[in-house]
Amino acid sequence: MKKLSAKNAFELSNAFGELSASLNNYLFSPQIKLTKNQKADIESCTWSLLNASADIRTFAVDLQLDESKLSFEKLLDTTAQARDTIRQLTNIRKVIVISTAAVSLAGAIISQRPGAIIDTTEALYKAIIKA
Amino acid sequence: MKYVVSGIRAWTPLLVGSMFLFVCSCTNLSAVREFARNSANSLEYTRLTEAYVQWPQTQKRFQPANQYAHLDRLAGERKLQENELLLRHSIIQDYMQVLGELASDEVVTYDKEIDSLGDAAAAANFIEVKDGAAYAAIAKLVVTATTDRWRQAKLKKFVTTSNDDLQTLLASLKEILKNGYLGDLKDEKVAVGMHYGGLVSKSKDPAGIAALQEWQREKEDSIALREQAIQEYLFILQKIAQAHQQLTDAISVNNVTSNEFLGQMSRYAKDIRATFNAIVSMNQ
Repeated sequence: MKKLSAKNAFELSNAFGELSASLNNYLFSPQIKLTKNQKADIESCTWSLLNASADIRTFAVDLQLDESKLSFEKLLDTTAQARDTIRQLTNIRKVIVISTAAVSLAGAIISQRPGAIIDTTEALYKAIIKA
Repeated sequence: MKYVVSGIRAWTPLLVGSMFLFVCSCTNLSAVREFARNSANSLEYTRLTEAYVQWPQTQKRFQPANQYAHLDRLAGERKLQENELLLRHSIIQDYMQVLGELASDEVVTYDKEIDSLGDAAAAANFIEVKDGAAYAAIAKLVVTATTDRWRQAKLKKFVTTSNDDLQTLLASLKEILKNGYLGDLKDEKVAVGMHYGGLVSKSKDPAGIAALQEWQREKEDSIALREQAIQEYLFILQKIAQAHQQLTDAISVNNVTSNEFLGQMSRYAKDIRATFNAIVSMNQ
């Protein structure tokens, strides 16, 4: 048997809802004379049909959620990857900080200042550790 | 060393000129940002979903007591759907926030770090102190232009990869609103008619009948207002889907910089915001 689609289920729900609306119109039509028992029976049927419509509609929402589950999961994944991209942009800041420390160290080496070499090596080390 | 430094100095005007052209060629995506921001704000609105979940319990006021058990069971089933429905809102909202961030000109600024780099280069005698500021300015242009280009490439990939899934999710949410949420209100109208029709048919008091009919009209007006809110929200989802499709199409033909495209995105953004404001004011 072919599986019911969300679209079919919504159509079924709508059909039950329309049927209950027709019964409601019939029940209160001035042209129709009904006995008390007949009225009670039709009223009971109308409520049952109305709630059957809501039942099927709720089921249709389940089907609709299922049918789009794959897209939901894929979009979740793509969005998480894009957030990583934004984080990478933040990482560039760290790269510049490390480069700055490296430039200072290179300057100290070229000028052959032993004290400065120790200080700038330590600064570079700290910059790398913090990154 | 001096040769290198003087070489840098000689090339500086050319470098600045090239960088200026490079940076100017970067796109101003403020209309895309505005669209993404307004869409994300709209997706934050979940009152319609809350109404759908609570609907079975609210129907008890119209239905006979022998239907209460049925309505309770239905309420339980909808409660189980609530989280999944809210997640649909939040993933599209998250997506739009990320889209807005990627379309931003100022995701991250590196000015402070680059100034320090310029100072370090001057202190290390790679450049003269007086050139430190110019060096930092060029470095800022280079880094900004490079990261902008990279970010925009990522943005294009993000949009084109996601479009089909986003369209599916928006279409699915639209179906749920159109047939699920509006279907509830259609049935509620019947329930209101049944409830008040039954009471009126049993009453012999003209004043009582008039009062009952007035209450019925009030309930029907309330349903009409909620129907209008759903229709407006459907319009928002439709606009988000259309705008995102247009963004995807513009990216595929490399047309995101055209004034015509950016004008359309801006109009979409304004439509979404105006409609969302209308829904919010309906609830006040």
